Amino acid sequence: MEKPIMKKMINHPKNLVREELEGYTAAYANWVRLVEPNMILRANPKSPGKVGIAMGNGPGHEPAMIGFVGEGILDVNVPGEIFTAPGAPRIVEGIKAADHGAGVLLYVANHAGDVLNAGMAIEMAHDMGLNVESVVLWDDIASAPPDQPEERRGIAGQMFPFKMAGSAAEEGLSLSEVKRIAEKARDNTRTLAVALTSCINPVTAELMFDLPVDEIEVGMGVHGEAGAGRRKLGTADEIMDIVAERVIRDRPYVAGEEVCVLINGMGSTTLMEMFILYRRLAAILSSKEITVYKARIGNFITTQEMAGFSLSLCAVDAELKHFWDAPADCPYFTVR
Amino acid sequence: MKAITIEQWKEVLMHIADTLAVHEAELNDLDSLIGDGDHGSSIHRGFEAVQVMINQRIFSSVGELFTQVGKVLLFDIGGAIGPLLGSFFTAAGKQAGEITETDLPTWAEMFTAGVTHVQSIGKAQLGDKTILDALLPASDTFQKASTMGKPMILAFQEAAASARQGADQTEGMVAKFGRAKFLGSRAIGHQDPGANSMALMLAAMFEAFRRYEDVDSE
Repeated sequence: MEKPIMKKMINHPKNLVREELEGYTAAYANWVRLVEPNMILRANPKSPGKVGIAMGNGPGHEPAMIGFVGEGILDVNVPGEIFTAPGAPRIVEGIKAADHGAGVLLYVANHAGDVLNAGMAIEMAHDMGLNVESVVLWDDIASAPPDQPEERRGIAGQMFPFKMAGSAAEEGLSLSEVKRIAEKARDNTRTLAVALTSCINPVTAELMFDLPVDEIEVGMGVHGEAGAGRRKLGTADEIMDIVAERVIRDRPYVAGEEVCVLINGMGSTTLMEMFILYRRLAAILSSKEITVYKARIGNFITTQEMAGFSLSLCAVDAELKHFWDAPADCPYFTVR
Repeated sequence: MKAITIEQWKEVLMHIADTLAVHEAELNDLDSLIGDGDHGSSIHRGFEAVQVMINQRIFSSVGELFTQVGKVLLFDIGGAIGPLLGSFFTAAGKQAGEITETDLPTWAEMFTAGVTHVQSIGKAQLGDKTILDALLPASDTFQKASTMGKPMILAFQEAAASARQGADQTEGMVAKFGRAKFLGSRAIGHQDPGANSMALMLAAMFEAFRRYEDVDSE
């Protein structure tokens, strides 16, 4: 691959994470603060006696996950290096910081590094006598067949368990209940991503992968991992027809069901495009008598300046609807 | 060279760190073909932290040195390779215990303990296109050399060669773990970065010990 020219506004690549954490917590000081070793905590912690929620993951996907620290979602986020899960001892510090006396739920995105470090962190935490449970999150239908959900990557559909279990914790539910809600939201969610362009890793200044200018990758992972296949770019309607049909079929979502929808931008895709894509989705769901309860469109879990989007559906009942609608006040996710 | 002292191990670890710094870009390039391109930077970061740690304290045993190296690597590297490398050193350190120098049989046991722990954490087997494809052949080589009573320096030379060969063989493999597992057959033709960095580490160990051997025979 030809060496690309990285035109990003950074200082030294080795200081990326630290500098972004300092800038972010300075800008949003009413919501978040930076605590050593490099963790983001709520500036206004939740009340004692409520389950705490923590997550460690690789940054580079902003606003995820640092942008979701606040009421209704995360108490603590432990960033590692760019696209790299933090080391297990750092996650343990995050678990301790999230403990408000009623136990901690640790979210783990289903990627090799995240799972390995979180697994070790949970063991270390249990050895210290900490009350912590974990839930591994997956939603990407392109990574593995439906009968192997635990092989599927965690991508933008993680927003559903984040918010729903986060609000359950906010309302004072027990650790086992909060975990149950997270798993229920996860199991009701399916996602498929499409990439139009690659992106440049800001640490190495290299292109993450190669994609011919007239092609798209269906089933792209959030770090540029290959997906289910390449095809020529079509119209928005043609693309959404393919994506929606595969997501609906995977579970399947059926007539009479209600779903929440998340259309996630990968970083450089315009809202204009995502609104046009949603128009087609709305027509498809309507034709299948699947009702949209609520929809959110925007950049949630991005991959630098990659162009593309993912579609996530989450089947919702009264309980999940209640927690999706409950208040949240994070710098990059609000529900009033 | 009959046994490696704590001071010598410290120098070897420093040399490993310097070697990984030299090969950082090359390892990143390898990783960019089947991963996200930062393996070299990640390993270098971890061993830079090891260098700082080594300069800051005294070690009363080989076990203590290796355990502390493992802790630093686990804290600093992250990703998938951090827990694997960290666990290797921690388990080798636990096996070593209170001893202040390692002969070949002791080292072979330490290396095997490290590899066994990596396998239990990562769950990979030979042929899965991981660091184990370098670690397992090297471990076999150390054990055989120990059983046959070979000179230590020869054991390191042969283990470095086994690890190199193991890393080269990852080129033809499909990945069962990590990001590369989603590439399917697209991973074939590219070597595993973790196996390569381990091969480099063992080569660096041999290089460092060869200097002592030269000194010994003067």
